[in-house]
Amino acid sequence: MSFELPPFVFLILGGLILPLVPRKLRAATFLLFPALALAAVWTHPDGAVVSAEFFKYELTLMRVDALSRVFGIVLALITLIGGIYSYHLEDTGQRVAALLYSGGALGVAFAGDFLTLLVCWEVMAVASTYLIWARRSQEALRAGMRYLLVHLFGGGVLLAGIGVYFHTTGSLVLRAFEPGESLAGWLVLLAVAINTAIPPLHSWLADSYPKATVTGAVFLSALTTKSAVYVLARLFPGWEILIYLGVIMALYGVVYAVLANDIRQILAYHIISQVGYMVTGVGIGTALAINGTAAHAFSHILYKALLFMGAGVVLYVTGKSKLSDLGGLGRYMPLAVGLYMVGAFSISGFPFFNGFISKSIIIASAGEEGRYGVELLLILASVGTFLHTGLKLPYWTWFGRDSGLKPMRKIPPNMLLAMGLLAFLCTLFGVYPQLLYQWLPNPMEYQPYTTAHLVETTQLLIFTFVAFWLMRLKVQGDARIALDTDWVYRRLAPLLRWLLVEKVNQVFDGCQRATDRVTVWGVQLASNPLEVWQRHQLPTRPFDPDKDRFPVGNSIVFTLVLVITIALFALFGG
Amino acid sequence: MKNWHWMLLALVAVASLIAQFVGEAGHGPWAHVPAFWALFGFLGCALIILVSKAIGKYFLQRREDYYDEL
Repeated sequence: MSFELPPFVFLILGGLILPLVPRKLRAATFLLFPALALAAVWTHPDGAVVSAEFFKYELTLMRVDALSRVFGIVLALITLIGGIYSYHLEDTGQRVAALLYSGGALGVAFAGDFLTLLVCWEVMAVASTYLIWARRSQEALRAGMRYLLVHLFGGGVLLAGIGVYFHTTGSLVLRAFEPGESLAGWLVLLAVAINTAIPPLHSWLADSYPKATVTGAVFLSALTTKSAVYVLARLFPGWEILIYLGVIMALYGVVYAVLANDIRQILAYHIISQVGYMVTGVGIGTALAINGTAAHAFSHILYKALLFMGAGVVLYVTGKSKLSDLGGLGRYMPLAVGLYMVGAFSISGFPFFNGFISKSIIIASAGEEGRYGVELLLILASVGTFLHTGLKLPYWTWFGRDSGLKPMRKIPPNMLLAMGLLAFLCTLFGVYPQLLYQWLPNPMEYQPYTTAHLVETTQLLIFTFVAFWLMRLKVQGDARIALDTDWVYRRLAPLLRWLLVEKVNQVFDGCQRATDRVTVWGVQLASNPLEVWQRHQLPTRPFDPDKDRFPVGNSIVFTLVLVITIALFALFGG
Repeated sequence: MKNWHWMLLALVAVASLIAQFVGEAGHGPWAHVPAFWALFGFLGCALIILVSKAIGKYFLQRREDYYDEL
């Protein structure tokens, strides 16, 4: 029997060990853990299982198959390369958070039961929040809190779904739901939809990622949404609603990317757009479509991290990330621009880059099913992808109008090394798609390099460029924000709090004050009725005991009369 | 963009238009419409910009300190 450890063990243990390592060695030691996890993911054979007893439940901490492996490889790989990108960083907290976060994501990708999934899900939510808070600005603190609340809500919904599932089936084993199957299915879908950033549940992403740390955003861009896509592909293949939601996502992200001003927010909206393709693939649910989803998630993690790294370089050296503040920076960082452009070509689906060989699988699977409308709308979204990520963002950041901005510091070489590695991988998988296709869960006959596909892509890209060039002034940075569904909890919630909490509190406060006044008055009346009477009758002068008190004789007469009365009553009465 | 950039792009565009009728056809009802994807790319891009800008202008865009007011 071979001895296999679940890959997440390396990362979680790594997160616990790292603070104990001497400070100088931490950056290098960090790399060890994702490398070990990657080796584990790579070598574990299909069907390998690790289970554990937890009270009376049998938990499956790891269960390996091709779908898990392809996600596992890229999740571990991106943690490793993210570690290189953040090598210069002196922040142990962020490193530990990244390891735990990645451990959670790998745990999700290999979980064999719902309880393991839930625990890993929550670990991800908490650890990733730190990568936003670590920016330490007021804005980041607030955005991080909103992010955390949304994800804890999602975790709660997941728990509810799992509770219903366990109650009705008596099992915790992870298995695919039939389309529209049960209440448990819908609850779990709702929870996963939050992490997949399906509108209207997506706004946490575009709200928080632009406010995260330079290096944290790289991990964020890779782990949360893609581990959620894995769970969708595992549990909900063939749910038709996902086709439509996916198409809406793909276009929704494009529209908002036109309006976004922060370069990392443009990229964040394009995560939503790209994940839309994957969600559509899950909804179509055929062997080819699921392959497409897995392949596109793999490609997406590589090029999106590269793009976030490029935007991170700009933020790192200038301290600015708004398009309206940037411009003309290209001459200070030609290498970073070049590497970013490899990511931009990849996401836009240029031939010989990895977007070309993965996005097209999902689009082709829609065409194969005769869903031509879906196919055209996805291609329209990919026009938008090139427009923003490949043209608007680089043009107005590095070229276009010169903002006069100069770099404040040098780009650490490890940042460029990480970008170089990703650029290499994006090109490698683009040129040799079989390297990726061999890991896909279903047998693959799809061939991306056909004349028709090349013709289609070439025409699309060239004429998108022409249209951009003619209208480029329309898409320059605009120092405004566009309202998204986070409006509900950022603007409406304060209103509701004002109405339901503050107003109600005011009523209670008023009652309290009234009771207090009545009590105080009562106490005064009881302790000295004369003072109260005098204040009421002669409010013009203060209470004077010598003038206002009854003479003492009155009291004596009163007491005497009382004593005599009682005495007479005692003697003669009854 | 220098002139030779445009000439190169035009060359590739023409090549792709010719290739559409030389190689094997794609699938879908549009496979035989000449320059379909060129038009799709151009109009799609213009549409995305104009429609999004209009939605932004009339519904969505606010000042940057919008959320700070409360």
